[in-house]
Amino acid sequence: MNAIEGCGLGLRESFADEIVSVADRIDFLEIVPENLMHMNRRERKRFERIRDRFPVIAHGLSLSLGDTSNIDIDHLHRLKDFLDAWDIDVYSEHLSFTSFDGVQSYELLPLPMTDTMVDAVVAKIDRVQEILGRPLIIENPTYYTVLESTMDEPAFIGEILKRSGAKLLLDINNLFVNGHNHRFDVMAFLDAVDMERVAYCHVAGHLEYRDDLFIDTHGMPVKEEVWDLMRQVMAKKALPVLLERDNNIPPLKELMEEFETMKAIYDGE
Amino acid sequence: MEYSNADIYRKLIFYRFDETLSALFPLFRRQTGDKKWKKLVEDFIVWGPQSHYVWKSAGKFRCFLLETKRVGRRHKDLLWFEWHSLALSRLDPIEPSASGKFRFSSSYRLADSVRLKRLRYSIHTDCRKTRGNFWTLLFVTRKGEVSWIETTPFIGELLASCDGGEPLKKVVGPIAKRYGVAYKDAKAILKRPLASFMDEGIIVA
Repeated sequence: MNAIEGCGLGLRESFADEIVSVADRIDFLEIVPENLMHMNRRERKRFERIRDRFPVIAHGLSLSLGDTSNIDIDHLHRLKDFLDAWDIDVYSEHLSFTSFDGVQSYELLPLPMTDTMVDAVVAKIDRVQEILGRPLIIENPTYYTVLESTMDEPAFIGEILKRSGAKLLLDINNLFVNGHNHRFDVMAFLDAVDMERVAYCHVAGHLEYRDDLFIDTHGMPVKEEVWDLMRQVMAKKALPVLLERDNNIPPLKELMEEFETMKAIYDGE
Repeated sequence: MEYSNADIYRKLIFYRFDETLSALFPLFRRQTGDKKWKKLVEDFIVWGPQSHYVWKSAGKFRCFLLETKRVGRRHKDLLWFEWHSLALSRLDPIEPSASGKFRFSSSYRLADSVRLKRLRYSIHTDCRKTRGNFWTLLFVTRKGEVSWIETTPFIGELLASCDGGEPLKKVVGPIAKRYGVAYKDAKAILKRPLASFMDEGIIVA
């Protein structure tokens, strides 16, 4: 796996034409393969220019690791061809399900945290890694309801990582949101995570939907509490970190101001 | 068993589809009342979109609306227009043509990056009541953008008949006759727009 380091940004269509202009400030870009697997020639040329200037990693949306009875082999082969063609070694997905029997919800739905689910997810990750020919990185997702579970989230994730060999994409905003919504101690969560297994981190903004329910929208600036949590994570281990913004995306200049905030924290300022 | 906050997922999934489909079908969305739109989106989610790619869900949404007979002719026209605009935007920009000068003695066909349809309602005027024959041409420009024009019924029928087989002059004759136009006059009328279509890559030899 190619090593990534430093501070990255999630590439989005709204600023793809101008991203090269800030190449000296960004260490790596993360793309969503599902959004780039049908590029026309103009888009391909643009992406070639981007690929030439940045290390690029991929973050998938539709693998649906929790839909354990269904694996879309054709999609995985198309994905592998895409990743190979663009020489992208690092690929991550969410520990959730987005589809059931092939029907897509395009939303990250929660998994029951049980031994049975661990077995099934590990089997699916094994198959995915075999077809893609690269190790998988799994992200801790937000969940707004807890399905019947027999273990807590760190144990669930830890067991999957241990048995599958996958690494963790630690989404710091998701951890913060889950900690708030389910009233658990995020520092205890971090203490339970094997930081050696964390490949990189995400930070993003969330919506304070109700006092007792925050929603991971990626539609607003990162909250101060999430920056604080990032400081705590970085104090444990300096990990590559990436800023995500998917909705209500500001102009690149404004987004880069937030990126610089993240970079300053990463640099320990 | 009812899980706490389970309702939020219903809302999140709905908003995801609502936002995506509203962006992909802006004209159809504008012409559909909020209540009806909400019901269509909810029913579509249950119907079951099956693509990994969000943009392709637009095609599934159109299929759903047509298969379940949820829209009238006016909206079918709009859906055709908006779906093909989106699908064409995924195509490569057309290459500069090397087919030379436009001639009525040559055979032509519509390029692969073109869609032509006789619509019953005009997209151009957003006309909701007047029925007619609105021949609408969607095409990819050399810059890779999707553009469209509404053309005359005469030219629309002519383009629809251009299949790359017979020379253009043999295609023009019967259509001109049907419109009561002398062949010589038809050639004079058609030469400029058809040459322009060839330059734009809309028709290819």
